[in-house]
Amino acid sequence: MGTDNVGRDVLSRVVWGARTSLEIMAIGVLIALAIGFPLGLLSGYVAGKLDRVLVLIMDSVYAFPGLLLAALIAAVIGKGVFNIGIAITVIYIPLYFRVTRNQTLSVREEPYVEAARALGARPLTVMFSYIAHSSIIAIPVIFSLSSADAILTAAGLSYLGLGLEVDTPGDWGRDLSDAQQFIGVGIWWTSLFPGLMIILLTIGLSFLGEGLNDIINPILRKERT
Amino acid sequence: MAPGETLGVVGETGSGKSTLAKAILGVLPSNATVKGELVFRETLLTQMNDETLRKLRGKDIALIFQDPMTRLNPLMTIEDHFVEEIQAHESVSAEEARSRALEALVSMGIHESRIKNYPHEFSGGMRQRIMIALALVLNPSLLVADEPTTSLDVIVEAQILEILQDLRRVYKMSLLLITHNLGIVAEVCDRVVVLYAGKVAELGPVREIFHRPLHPYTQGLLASIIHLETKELHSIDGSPPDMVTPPSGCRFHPRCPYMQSICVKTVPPLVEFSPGHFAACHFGEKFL
Repeated sequence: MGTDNVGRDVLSRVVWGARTSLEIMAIGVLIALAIGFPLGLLSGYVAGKLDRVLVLIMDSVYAFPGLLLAALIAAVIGKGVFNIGIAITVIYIPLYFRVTRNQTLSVREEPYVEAARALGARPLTVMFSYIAHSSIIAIPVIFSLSSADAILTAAGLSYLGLGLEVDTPGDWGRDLSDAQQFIGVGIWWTSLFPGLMIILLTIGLSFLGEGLNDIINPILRKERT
Repeated sequence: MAPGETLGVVGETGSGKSTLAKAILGVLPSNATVKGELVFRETLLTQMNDETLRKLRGKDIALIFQDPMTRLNPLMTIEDHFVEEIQAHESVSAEEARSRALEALVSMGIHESRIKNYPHEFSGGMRQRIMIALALVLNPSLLVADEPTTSLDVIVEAQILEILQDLRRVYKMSLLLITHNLGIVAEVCDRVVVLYAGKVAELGPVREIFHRPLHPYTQGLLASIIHLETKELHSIDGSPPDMVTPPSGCRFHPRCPYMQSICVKTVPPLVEFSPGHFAACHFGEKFL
């Protein structure tokens, strides 16, 4: 893939960039899931004031354009892989919260939940065995799709220079922004390959999400056979 | 209710039968309030806190519902259902819970190899039997059955009723049977309560109610039963009242053939017109 303007190998930068991107994405999305899912569950099940407060907070965060919010947070807490991961977490918590809460609200009304309560099931059992167990069905698809989105957001942050430390090995967004100035003189490889990688990873994760949806959703599953 | 007694609760749709069942166990929606007294073995159910009431459910008072098709968790095997219920009330090992589950299932006439099946692998009648088994596995002293056979065909219905009666005899369990089928009531119940628009219209021993109904609504119900010799269908005029703004005085007055002005003005009290036989009608004596 050639070398960049200071002689660094583009291929190895791209490969290391994959690692960095995946790290950021994993931190971001996994922590968002770990926070958003239980909160959504609690909020949907308990309802009342707690629910109203949480929905208000989550909707406010959700209303912010993702990149802007991440940029704000990154500017405040500084650079580094972990910090960017956290910035991305904050953007995706409302998504997991909302999806889980919707599932919880609908499962909560199911007759078998009422029957379980009538036979004396403990509230925690109802929440986990029944509601969480049913709600988790929606998560894998959202997980892959938000991962795809997280890659784009992370790349966007790096492109803006808010992402990682300058000496982090392999940072697709930063490479893209560095390479911009050379496109005019005909040096296409320093910008093409990082950009291509971002696209590939994003599309790959999106396809993963769609594929999971096809398998999990019983209606779509029937259409395949 | 006395131990071992079967009390039938009869009424039209919307008369409050299911609400009564759920109120007993405290599983009404959170915006419902319960007024009045529900006494179980000298304790006031309405004043219990949540955890005490939860322990009661399934263990002392059990509730089975009308639609067995949707009452079991599709993600759990039958064994899981039993184990969860047993362990929610008693601290026993999973092994013991599983063996009790097997016993309960077999006593319902379901083969033991099916214990690890999921609910969707059973028919409606079998699911209802599973539900009954779940309700009875902890030997409650009161079983509240909310229209347990309404959605089942008559043959399965007969089987289920037979099971319920056997269990009553063997375990001395009281049964509160909610139904709109007077035939079942005549067959199975010791006493009957007739509900109309959320109020008790009549209450008494089954024979008394059938042979000498004191409330015009009960009379209307009995007259609408179709026999082999029925030539003409008889129904009660009018339609069930709006529960948001129910009729004043006696709630049945718009449909009552014997209505007088007092019926519109005053709510009739529940009076014992003959031993054990109560009716809420201003003119109950006339029908004695």
